[in-house]
Amino acid sequence: MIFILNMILFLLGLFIIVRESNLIKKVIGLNIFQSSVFIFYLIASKVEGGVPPILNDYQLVYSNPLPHVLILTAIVVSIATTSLALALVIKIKQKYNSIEENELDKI
Amino acid sequence: MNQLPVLVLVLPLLVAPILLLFRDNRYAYNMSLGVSFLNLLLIISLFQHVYENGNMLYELGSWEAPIGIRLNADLLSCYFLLLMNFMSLICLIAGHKNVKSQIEDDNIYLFYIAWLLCNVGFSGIILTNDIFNLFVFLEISSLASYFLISQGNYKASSLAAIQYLFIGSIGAVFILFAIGILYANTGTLNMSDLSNKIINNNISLSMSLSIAMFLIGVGIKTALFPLHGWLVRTYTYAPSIIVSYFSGTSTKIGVYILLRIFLDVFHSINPLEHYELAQLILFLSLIGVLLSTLYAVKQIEVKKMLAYSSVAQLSYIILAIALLTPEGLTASLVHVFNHSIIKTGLFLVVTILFINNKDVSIDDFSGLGSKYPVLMSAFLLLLLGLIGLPLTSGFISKWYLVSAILQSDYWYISAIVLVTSFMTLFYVWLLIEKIYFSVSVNHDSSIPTISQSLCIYLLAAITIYLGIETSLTFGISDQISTNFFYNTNK
Repeated sequence: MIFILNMILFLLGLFIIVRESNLIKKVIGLNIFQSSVFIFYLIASKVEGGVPPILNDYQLVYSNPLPHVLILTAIVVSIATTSLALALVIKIKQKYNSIEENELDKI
Repeated sequence: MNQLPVLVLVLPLLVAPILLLFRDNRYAYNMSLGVSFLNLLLIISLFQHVYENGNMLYELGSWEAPIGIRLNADLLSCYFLLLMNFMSLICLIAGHKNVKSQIEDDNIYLFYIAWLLCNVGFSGIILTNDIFNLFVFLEISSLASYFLISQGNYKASSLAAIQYLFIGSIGAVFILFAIGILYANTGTLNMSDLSNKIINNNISLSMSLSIAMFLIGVGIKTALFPLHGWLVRTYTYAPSIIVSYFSGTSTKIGVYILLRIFLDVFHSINPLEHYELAQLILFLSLIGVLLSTLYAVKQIEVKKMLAYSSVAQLSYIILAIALLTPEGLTASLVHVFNHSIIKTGLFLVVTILFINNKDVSIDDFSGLGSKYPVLMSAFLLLLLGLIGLPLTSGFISKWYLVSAILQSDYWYISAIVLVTSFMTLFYVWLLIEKIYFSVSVNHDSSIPTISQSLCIYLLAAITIYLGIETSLTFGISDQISTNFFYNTNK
C-alpha cells in the first residue's frame, strides 16, 4: 500500500515537471520527484519490528541503516541541484523579466 | 603503482577547492592545465599496467569489497578514461582564448573549477565499482556541466541550462530509483557482487522495473532517439568550447553506463535479449539515424548541423551495441573513440575561428580555404572522416559497423546505414563547397593562435593515424568484447 502511495508521489512529481510552465513550480516538482525516491529507500530499509542498529543483548532484529546513509548523500545532491536551479531562475528573471517557460520560448 | 586509480580522482578533487581560495583566473587556468596533463600521464601508465597485468582493483580506505567501495580499472574503463582525459586536455589548451573572450572576467576561475569537477565526475563514473558511487559521480559531473552550459554568451544560455538541469535530474532520479530497487532485491551495491547475486535471483517484476528505469535514465544521458531533444538545444546555446568538450565526452559517458549496467551488472540475465529490448533500441536508433541526418541536411547553422550529426552518430553506436554480438560491441567501441576525435576536432575549428560570432552559418565559411590553407585542409580531413572515406578513422568504424550488421540477424539494416552515410555527404559537401569554391571571402573570422592550430593538426593527424593503424582502437575493443562475451568469470 505504502509503495503505491510512493509511486503516486513519484508520478505526481514527474507530472509537475513536465506539465507546469512556471520554472519555480518546476523546481518544486523536481523536489517532490526526488523526495519520492528518498522515501522509497527508507521504506525498503524498514524491517518489521526492527529497531535502530545499536548493539545490545536483548534486541536481535535491526533495521538496515545503509539506505539512510545513502539517502543522506542523495539529499545533499538534491539540495545542490535545487540551489543551482534557483540561481539559474534568478538569472533568467533578470534577463527576460519572466519565468514562464511558454513565454520564454517565444523570445 | 597500486595507488594509480585513486590518484586520478583525488588529484583534481584536491586542486579544485584550492583554486577556489585563490580566485585568480590565470592561476586557475595554469593549474587545471597542469592537473589535466598529469592526469593524462597517470592514465597512460594505468592503461599500460592494466593492458599487461589485467584488472587493477583498489579498495578505498582498505575496506574489503562488498562492504567498502572499490575502484575497478579494467580495459573498458581505461579505454574510456583515456578518451575523456585526452579530450579535456585538448579542449583546455585550444579553448583558452575563447574562454577569455566569451566568459565574464569574474567567472573564469569558477569556469575552470567546474571543468575540473566535471572531468573528475566522468573519471569517477568510469572507475568506480560501486553502483551508488556511480550515481554520486554522475551528479557531480552533471551539476558542473549545468554551470558550464549556463556560462554561454547567448541570451538563451541560462534557459538551455535549466532545461538541461530538469531533464538531467529526471534521468538521474530514474537511475537512483533503479539502484534502490536493485539494492532492495540483492542487498549489495558492489557491481561485481551484484552480477554474481543476480544469477540466483529469479527475475522478479521489481527487477524488470529496475531495468526499465535504468534504460530511461541512460537513454536520456546518451540522447537515445526520442530523448535527444536536450542535446541539440544545449549544443546550440552552450559556450562553444564546452560544446567541443561535451561532444567527445558527455554523451559517451552514457554509452559507458549502458555497457557497464546492461552487459556487466546484468550479464547473467542479459536484459537486452530477455525483454527484447534490443529490438526496441535497434528500431529507435534507426529512426534516430534517419531523422537526425535529415535534420542535419536542413540546418544552415553549423553548430546545429554538427549537433544533429552527433545524434546520428550516437545512434550508430547504440545500434551496434543492440546487435548483441561481439562484432557489434567492437564496432561501437571503435566508433566511440573515432567519433569523439572527429567531432571534437570539427567543433574546435568552429570554436577557434569564430570567437565572437554567436550563430555561425555555413556562409561564414566562404573562402576560408584560401585564407587558412593548412587549417582548412585539417578541417577537410576531419569532415572526410565524418563521412567515412577510406584512410580516415571514420572509414574503419563504418567498415566494422557494416560488417557487424551483415554478420547479425538484421543484415537488411546495413542498407539504411549506407544510405545515411551517403546523406552525410550532402551536408558535408555544403561546407566544403563554401570553403573552397566560394568567390567571396569572409573577413570576420579570428586568427587562430599556434597552440590552437596545433591542437587541430593533432586531432586530424590522429584521424589519419587511426585510419591506418588500428591496434589502439580495434585491438583494444576486440579484447574488451571478447572478455564480455566469452569470458563470463572476469
